Amino acid sequence: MTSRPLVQVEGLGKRFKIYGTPWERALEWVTAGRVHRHSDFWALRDISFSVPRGECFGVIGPNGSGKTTLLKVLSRVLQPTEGTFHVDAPSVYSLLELGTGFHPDLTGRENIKESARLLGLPPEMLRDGVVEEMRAFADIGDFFDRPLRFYSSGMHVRLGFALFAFLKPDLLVVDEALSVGDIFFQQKCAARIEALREAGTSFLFVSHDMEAVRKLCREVLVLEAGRMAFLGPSSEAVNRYHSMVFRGRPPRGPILHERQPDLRAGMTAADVRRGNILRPDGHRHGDRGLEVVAARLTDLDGHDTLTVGMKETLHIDLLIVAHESVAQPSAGLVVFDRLGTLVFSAGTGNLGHRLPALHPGDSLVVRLSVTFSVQPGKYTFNVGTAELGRVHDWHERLGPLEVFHEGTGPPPFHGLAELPMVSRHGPVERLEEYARQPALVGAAPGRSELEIEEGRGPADGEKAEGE
Amino acid sequence: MASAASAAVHHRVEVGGLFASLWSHRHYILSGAVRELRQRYAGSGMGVLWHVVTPLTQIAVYFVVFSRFMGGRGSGAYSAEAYAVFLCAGILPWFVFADCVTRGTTALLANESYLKKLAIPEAVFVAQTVATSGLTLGLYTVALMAVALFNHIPVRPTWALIPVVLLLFLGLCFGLALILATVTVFFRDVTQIVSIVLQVWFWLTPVVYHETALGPRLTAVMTWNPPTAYILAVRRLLVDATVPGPGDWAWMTGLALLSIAAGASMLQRLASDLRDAL
Repeated sequence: MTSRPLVQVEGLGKRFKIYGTPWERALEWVTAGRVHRHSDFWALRDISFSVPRGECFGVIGPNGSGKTTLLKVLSRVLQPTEGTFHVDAPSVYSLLELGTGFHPDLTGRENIKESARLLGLPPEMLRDGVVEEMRAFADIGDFFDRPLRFYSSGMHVRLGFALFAFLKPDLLVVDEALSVGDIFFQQKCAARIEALREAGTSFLFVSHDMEAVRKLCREVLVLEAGRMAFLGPSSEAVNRYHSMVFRGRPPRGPILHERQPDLRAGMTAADVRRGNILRPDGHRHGDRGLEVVAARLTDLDGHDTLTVGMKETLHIDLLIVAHESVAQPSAGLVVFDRLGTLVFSAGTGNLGHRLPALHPGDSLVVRLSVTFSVQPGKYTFNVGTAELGRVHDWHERLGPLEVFHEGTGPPPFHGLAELPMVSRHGPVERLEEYARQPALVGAAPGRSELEIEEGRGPADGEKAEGE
Repeated sequence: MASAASAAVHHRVEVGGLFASLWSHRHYILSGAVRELRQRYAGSGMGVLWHVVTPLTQIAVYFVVFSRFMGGRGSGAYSAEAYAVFLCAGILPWFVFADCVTRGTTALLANESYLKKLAIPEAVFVAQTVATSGLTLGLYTVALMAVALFNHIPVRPTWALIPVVLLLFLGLCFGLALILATVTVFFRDVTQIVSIVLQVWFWLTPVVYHETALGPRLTAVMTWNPPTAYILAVRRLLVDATVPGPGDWAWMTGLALLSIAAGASMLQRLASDLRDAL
């Protein structure tokens, strides 16, 4: 039973017939195909792979490489021209486009029910409890019971994902669904996909988001011009993709406040308040014995910003006010990527930096200087205060903070985050010595002086100079 | 070729498969039909009543023209009152037929966005336009009987057969809509052609006059014209209280089944290219 793959594709091909005018098609019809007037375009050819049960299978490739056509064939929207495919799942849902069945004059609730009918779902799949779960997930407040005409495009997408997130299909076909909505919603979607995966749902996943592919999929198919360029482990597939296309990264984001740069080493309480990014209605928890009343992010030039280059540093100044006596206060930062993965979490306590004891009414500015040695992308962060395991005041879901890679050269590294790495090499030697004495291969060369040149990351180099 | 055929098995549309897929989408078809009916006159003061007012106005015009100005040449042996009922029994089903064919022709094009993204069977959208027409026809049937009573025609047991005839009529509409909707995807000109053909068709069908009013040659044309049988059957059941003979029933049932089978096989044959052409 379980040995049979969920999806089995063999020699699949899809040809589109291109006609210049409708008359050419008419001529072919009239002559029963004896006259040939169309040209062929093979969007897919010789595609073979299989997806085991419970797996997440990724499909990546440049624009126009046939990814969406493949998903449409497997979702049975389009018919293949040659080859076979078999999908051994009773329920298959496809997120080819979120909210396709939505009608502008119906409310969110009515649209969810209407979409369920469109998908041919039995009505009992949408009991009131399930619809309530969807309502909570979409998180669009009263708009859920208003006509879609009044929705923003973001709300539209939230509603669309909410519908699919609470169906429990055997196979879910996802096309770029994770690139919708804001980063907070994306994190929520990623968590939901993870939950579905644990519940046994398999995924066919198309994305331009390499990190999502690497994280979610074990095996990945790389398409190029409709042909299989690679099929194998996700990390290798992503590398193939990167070497196939190189796309320039977006330029530096706008500076938030046009203000004279503030180059002082530290900030006063008033300085922090002036550039405060915390919102009174933001997500927050803790008993607030030690309150974070303001936070300000500046780059090394003193500009307020929420964008930072790869491997560049931001100062995060926190203004904290004690409402009770706190013997060992600590302030810290937590960073999440767009899939909700915890990237980094540390406080002054972790650094061995002891903050002074505070009494009611005391205030203190704490500066956290963070170098973002992480891959380009959007991140959210939390800042807050704590004391020996007790949470005082955490501000959550701040941002998004965008890390970018500037210029057209290759990025300094690929992957989630940079690990400090040093490379060295020895002198150039003639290979014939080894060729004549093969037994010596592997033995230590007779030279003692190995270090001729070495390479280091620029950050390390700067640090060495500074010391 | 064998492998391509087995992959295409998922899309096979036979008459049996056609009805199975329609049945599994019945909730969507019905709710969409009701919504469509409501929305056509959404925001207007009289709402659904417009569905009745528009054809009744046309009936009034034909009534005046044929029974007064043309000296009753079209109405044959009928009295003025009976002719009013006669007209209603012709125009109301014709309205539904024309509406069904016109909107059926664009049923797949209009739902392009769904067809390009969802694996929903094509016939569902055609069925939805026919279901909308079916609801209108239900409304008209009530109006028709009201007009008959108003004109002193007594309630007759033969009226119970009127819905059966109209159901068969909708079958014919569905088959024609299936054929036209499929062809229109490939040849967009069909939409324009259909609207022209319908105008001629109207006058070749005994809608506003008696089937023998135009002489023997055109009477023969009318006999073979598919909508004629249904309109005549409704008229006889309503006004004359005569039940159509077994030959008429066989003809009406056969036409409906034949058109649906033709539509289904057309769709099946072209299904492999249909969504590519959208």
